[in-house]
Amino acid sequence: MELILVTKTSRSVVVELTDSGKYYTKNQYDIYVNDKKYMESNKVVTSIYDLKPDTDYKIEVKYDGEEIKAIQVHTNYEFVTLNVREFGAYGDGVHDDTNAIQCAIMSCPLNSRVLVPAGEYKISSIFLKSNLTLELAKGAVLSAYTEREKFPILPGVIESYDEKEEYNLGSWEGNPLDTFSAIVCGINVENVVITGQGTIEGNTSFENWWKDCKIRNIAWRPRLFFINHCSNVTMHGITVQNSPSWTIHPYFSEHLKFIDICIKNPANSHNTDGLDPESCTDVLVLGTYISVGDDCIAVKSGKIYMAERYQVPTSNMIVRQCCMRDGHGAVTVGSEIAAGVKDVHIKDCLFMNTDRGLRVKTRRGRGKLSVLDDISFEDIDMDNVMTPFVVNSFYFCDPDGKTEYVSTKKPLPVDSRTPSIKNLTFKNIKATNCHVAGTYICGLPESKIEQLTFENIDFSYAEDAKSGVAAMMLGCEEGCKQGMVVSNIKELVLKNVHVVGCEGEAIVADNVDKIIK
Amino acid sequence: MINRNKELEKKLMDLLDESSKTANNEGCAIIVNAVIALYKATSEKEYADKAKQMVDKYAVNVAKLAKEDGIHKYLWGNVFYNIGDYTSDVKYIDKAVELAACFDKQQRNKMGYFSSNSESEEIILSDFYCTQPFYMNYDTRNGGKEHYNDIIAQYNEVSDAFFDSCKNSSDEYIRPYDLLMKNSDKIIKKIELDKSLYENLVYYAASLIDTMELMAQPLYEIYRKLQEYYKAAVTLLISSKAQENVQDETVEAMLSYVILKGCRMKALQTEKYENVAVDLLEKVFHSINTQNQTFDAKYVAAAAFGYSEWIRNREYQDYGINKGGVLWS
Repeated sequence: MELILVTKTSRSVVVELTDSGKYYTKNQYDIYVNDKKYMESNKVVTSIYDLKPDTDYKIEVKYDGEEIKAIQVHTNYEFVTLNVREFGAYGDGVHDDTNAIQCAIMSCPLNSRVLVPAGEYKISSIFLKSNLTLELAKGAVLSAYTEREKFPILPGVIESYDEKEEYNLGSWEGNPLDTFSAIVCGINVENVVITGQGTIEGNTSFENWWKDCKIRNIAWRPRLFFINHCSNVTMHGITVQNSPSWTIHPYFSEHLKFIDICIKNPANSHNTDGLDPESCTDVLVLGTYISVGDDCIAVKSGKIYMAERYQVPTSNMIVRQCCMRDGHGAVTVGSEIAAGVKDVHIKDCLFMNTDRGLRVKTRRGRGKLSVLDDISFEDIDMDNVMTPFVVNSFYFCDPDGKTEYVSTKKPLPVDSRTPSIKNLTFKNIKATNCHVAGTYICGLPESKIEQLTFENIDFSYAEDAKSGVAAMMLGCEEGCKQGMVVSNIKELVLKNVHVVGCEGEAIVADNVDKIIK
Repeated sequence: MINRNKELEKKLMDLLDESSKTANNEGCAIIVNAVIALYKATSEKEYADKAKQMVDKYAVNVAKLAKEDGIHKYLWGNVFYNIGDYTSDVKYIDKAVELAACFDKQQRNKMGYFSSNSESEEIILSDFYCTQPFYMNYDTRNGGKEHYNDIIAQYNEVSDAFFDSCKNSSDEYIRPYDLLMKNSDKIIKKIELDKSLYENLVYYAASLIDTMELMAQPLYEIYRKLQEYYKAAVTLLISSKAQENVQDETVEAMLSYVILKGCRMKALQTEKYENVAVDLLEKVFHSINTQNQTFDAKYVAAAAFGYSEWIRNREYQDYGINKGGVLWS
């Protein structure tokens, strides 16, 4: 067990207690700052707030009576604090504070922070700038309006004057379409930290953004947080909740960190994915809690136009020490993955009560650039997950998703529209109280999954297992306590895999070229 | 709305009414479509009522219409949808669906697109104007988007053939527009020598912009391809020599409609393209205002289409904010 520094600002640090559990530590422990007891924690990754800038701190942990080696931290230098109240924000939950907060943000000099103190700040959409720390203090709520007329619009595509290039701002489900700007929005900015114990509250309900949500009304629904072509952005500590659509949507951005944040949307809300990096590189998600109405994390890279035009996959992504509960999928890859996804690793996480653990959603028509490769899940505990692993190459939730072309199980010619899956690895996974199936994996018959590895896997089923549909594809019937259903795979590696309590065969393999045990 | 000219509108409506009395079924369909375009641009209920009267008079028997061999009958399809939307009377929507059922058995030519002549290898671009906007509207609203791939396949075939398009063999992205335009000099020469081909291309461009207007945007790759084809067609059409050689006000009015609608839908940049269309239209409006003659249905309809776009905002995307959030129309 070791205490390590994860990140720091001028006012806070984040530490991780290694080898102490998955998201939650096995036992509660005490944190000492400069030899004084500062707080208790039961999380592997913990934030320590209310520190002073440019100051030395000794941080140590006592776990089960054992003193873990202390770390020394020097907080960052800070020039000034811009308190939004001094810029005219009321924080009374009535007055529109959008302009006052925006004014503070735009006025923020280098090495400084914009502070939103406790209070309810009504806003529509605020925009980030480069070299900014935005701190939402404990009790601070950026509370969004829900009237669409109050929100600016990000046009999908603006053509260059010479008609050769284009400028893409808005994005909706993988396409460059007009969307309302997010509640907190960043365009072409770098070196941004959003930190604190406060909340960004979307206030969405079935009376506003979630009403008739499949229909474009003026523009497509806003995200809660959207960054487009940004670099070095860290979100830390805050809670984001009740989002109009995808909650956090980083888009064509790089060097991103999401640390110790909490993402909450009702389980029955529409398309409220937690975190959807799309065509992003170098993404770390650490110590984060996600409970939402759709996929907790959905890794994306656009639909076919954006993929062909810009060819930017999502790559180099790590998800560690996170807890996903409720939602359709804990970690999903897809369905808008036309530029591919590679080098994505999920480790030391808890998945609870989600419909699926890993969920790959793809389909014919995503295109030849849609290559999924080097994706791994390691050291994961799942409980009460309906189907821990689902790979669906016939995903039907698209306007044309139920066409014969997408749904036929017969092999079609491989062409420029055919996606592919190369290497998926699952290791050291314990899935208890499964319901529908242990795994439900369907590659395309004409483009089989190249290698699928299961190693040290334990599946067991709930006594009162509920039946359900494992994958959103035509032909997938409702089932219960199915074992490992796999099809259209070149090489399937099964090492130390235990399926206990399923009904019927433990492994149902169809069109699998080679099984290695 | 900009520059609304009520006197001209009245004259157009009178002329449309007059022309409809002598027009054949195809002409009537075009006229009703034009009246609907005027209604959509102005929100004058009087125009919608007139369109409804015309539909009830000329196209009441869809079963009979469906039996006709040609493809002009499909011009009634979007009329039914529009009147159905205006009246909230489901019988008109049913008529549209009944007519759309004909697509399943509709003859195609050797290139695979809808045609009344299955043996023909000739590219009749204007055929698309009759079929595709309705095919797309039906598929978006009632067809489950099952035929989007067929629609774009038909456009791909014809655009590649007409433009003698190059295939992109590299992994690098090349805009479909650039691939189409590689042989543009040759095509421009062709259309300069062939007035009928030029006219065909105008109606083809109209079919593209009308089809784009009726499709679901989430299938953006299809939308975008149509937009590139549209833009390539417009580029050829406004190449100066070809345009000078045509000297046909029906074609010019229709071209104006095509360009102005593209500007409104942001498929073209208004500041770069609208002047061409506005200049052509002013010539057409001058003729209508000054000549006391009977114009044929196609001419009056084209003028009305042009006028319907002439008066609409194209300076910025208006997002349908004042129209319940409806995007384009």
